[in-house]
Amino acid sequence: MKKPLGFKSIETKHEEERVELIKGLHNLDRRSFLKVSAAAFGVAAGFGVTPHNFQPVNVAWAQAGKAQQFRFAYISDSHLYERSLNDRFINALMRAVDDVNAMDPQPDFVFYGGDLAQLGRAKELETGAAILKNVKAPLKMMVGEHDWYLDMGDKWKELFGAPQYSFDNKGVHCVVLNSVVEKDFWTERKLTPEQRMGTVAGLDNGTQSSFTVGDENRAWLENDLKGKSPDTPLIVFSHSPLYKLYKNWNFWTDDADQVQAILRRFNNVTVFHGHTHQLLTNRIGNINFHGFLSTAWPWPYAPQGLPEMTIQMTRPDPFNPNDGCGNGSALVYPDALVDKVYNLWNRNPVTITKKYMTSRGQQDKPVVPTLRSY
Amino acid sequence: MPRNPVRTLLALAVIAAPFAQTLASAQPASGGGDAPHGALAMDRQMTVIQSVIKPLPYNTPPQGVDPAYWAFLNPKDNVANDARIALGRKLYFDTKLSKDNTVACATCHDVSRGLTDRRGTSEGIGDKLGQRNAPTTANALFFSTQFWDGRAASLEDQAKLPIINPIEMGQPNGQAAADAIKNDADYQKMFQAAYGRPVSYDDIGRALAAFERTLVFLDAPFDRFARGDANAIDDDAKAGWVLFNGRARCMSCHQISTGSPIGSDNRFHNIGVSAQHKDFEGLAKKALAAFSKDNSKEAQDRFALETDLSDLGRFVVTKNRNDIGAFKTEQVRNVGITAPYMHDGSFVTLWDVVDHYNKGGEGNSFLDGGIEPLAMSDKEVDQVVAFLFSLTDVRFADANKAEYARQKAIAAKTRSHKDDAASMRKVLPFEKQMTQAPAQAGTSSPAAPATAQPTPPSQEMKR
Repeated sequence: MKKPLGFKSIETKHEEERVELIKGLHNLDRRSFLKVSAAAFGVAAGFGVTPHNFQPVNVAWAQAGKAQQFRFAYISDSHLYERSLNDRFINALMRAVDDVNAMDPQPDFVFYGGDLAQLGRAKELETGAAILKNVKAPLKMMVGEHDWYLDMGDKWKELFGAPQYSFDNKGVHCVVLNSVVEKDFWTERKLTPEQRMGTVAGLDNGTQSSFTVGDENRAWLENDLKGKSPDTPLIVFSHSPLYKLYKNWNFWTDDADQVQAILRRFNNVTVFHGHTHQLLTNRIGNINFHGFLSTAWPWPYAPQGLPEMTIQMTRPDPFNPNDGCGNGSALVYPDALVDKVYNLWNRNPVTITKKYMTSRGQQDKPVVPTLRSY
Repeated sequence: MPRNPVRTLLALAVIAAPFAQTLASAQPASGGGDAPHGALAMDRQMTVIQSVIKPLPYNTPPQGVDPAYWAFLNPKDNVANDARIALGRKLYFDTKLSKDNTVACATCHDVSRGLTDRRGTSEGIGDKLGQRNAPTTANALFFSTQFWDGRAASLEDQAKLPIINPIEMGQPNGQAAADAIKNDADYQKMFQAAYGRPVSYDDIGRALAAFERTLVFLDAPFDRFARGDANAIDDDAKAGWVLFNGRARCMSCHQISTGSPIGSDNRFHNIGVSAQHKDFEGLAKKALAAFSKDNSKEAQDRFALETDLSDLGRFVVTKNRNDIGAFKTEQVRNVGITAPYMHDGSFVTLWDVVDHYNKGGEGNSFLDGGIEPLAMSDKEVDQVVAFLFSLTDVRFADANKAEYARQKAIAAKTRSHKDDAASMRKVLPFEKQMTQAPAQAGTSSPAAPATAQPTPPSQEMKR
């Protein structure tokens, strides 16, 4: 049996237990067996962390059998500066690339969640593009506001193409949105492009407007989904969370209600978003939301509280710049629900399973990250 | 914690009593001797250690150690007493515990060599060389895990493993170690007195741990400086202390406090020691395959000491990708007399150590996020080194002086880890990696990054 390199626990007894269980299943071909094995990716390894409810979940899924689930990896929010200002974030992006390249089996694609650059500069984006060229799996790009507001996306589009597109992967329809559209606050104030970018890159200021998908992009989305039946498994990628969490930091999409209305007719929708740099989970009706980790820094949680489904990340260690950062992956089931893996670089990985989501957090609760008290 | 003032005074008196003899006065400057594997003769070692170690009343912390922390360090199921310590001392210096009667704990943790062996990696029975540098047993009790990769949770666990490792003391199993001494009348008596039962492998571990908890060496010139004696260390060491807490970033991991008197955060960090010559990804794959067959403590011990999986460090224990190449933060106490350095003993002098940190370590995917170029001048490196030499216990003063001179002479000729271009950020690690490793994946180098214009980042918080 080929084992995925990485986060999988290989503590012998668990391994044996798992093999025994799986052996007991009939009608399980080698391919499905490998998938069961792949599901172990992300289960915490060290410190005697035992994935108690791991086997029943995945066995049940394996029995479901034939349909084509797949895994994609993600990297997000690298916020690259030019070399003279900061190279730590560059190193972090390189680490993330090594991580996804080491995945065995390789993911179907690697998704980049936006904010490759810090201030939208050509050098920043070019450096990022050069590093991301090393990704072995197909790369899918999404734009973030830090990539956009210096030249309104010109350089980004030159390097990576259209900011909105859709594609199908193993029966799942995937849509990539530009959700960082702001109303024009710069013309009237006569801001330079640098000032405009600097304003958008800031927090807690009253100058910029909130993110939106905007009329034009929503129309594009409606058109893209036109004619798709409600049982189409649907994944949506957006840089900002497609709901309203905390306006002052733009953990917020102003026309989220309208976007959700477009998505409502589908049985299951999973939304992945960047921007928030933390473990963040939400479920609104038929829509499941998962945040991406950043490679650059973790954000604290917004002060007004969290969606109740969120498994909180404890406070990152201020002495370890990698703590709370990372990348991750998602195992996508044929119904577009996912097991979402947060690969934290300084901690055990955390997996938010499909079952956790569908039971509204009642079952399959991940091992809550603990931090030893000092 | 309520303290008995009389007992406290007593304890202070014990500490303050001038030592009749320092460790150094009983040894050649370089340490070591004519016993097998270069150790000083066991009886001489034992005489020396007994003359300088004055066990404190067991519930009294050494100076500079928080009482609650001290209480925590002494396990309830192996409470120290005279009988246990005496037994542990006898065992520590007894070569009978090894298969061929040539190796005792004190062979590689030699009293005359800073309670280590001053070798790159250690030599066991049959002159077999391992993959790891022997850490000193001085102050080892203060670590929350033992071994470079923390694979033992306690001193008790740690003490047992070298006895049965094939290239250290070579006993086939624990029972064989117990058998080797169980007919000795002295031992029979001492095990009864210590634990109320016959000789056993587990109690060998317990007694050794009880003895090792007396190996407290926290009385350095630096401590006297910290307690107010401004002349206890020289100006270079004082400047080094400022750097240690500041620009040199040492204290990120090597905090020195009453709750961490040895200056270790007890965590595991990849600083890139073996990054340049090892393929971490390949080794990790190999390790996972090997451990899927046997993941026992003994197997971990053997992989760590006998194979190139040694360089994976903490990964061998956790199998967590993020721990690849990560090793336990060593103590900074007595570091002047425990050369060579790092898990593989590959750094010859403390100048090498500081040069390595100054250049931002050796770049690799798993490099700890806190490791970055430090831009220290030659003089500042010298100052940090001077400070490190001020952390040696006064009982090792002569050895410390000799080591300083020896290392300084070496450093004057060879500074193999010095890289001014890297430490001053003229070359960045990512640029080195991109140009050095074209074999990796797609091989593109980043857009020529040489002419960046410094622009202040956004005034407000970055998002």
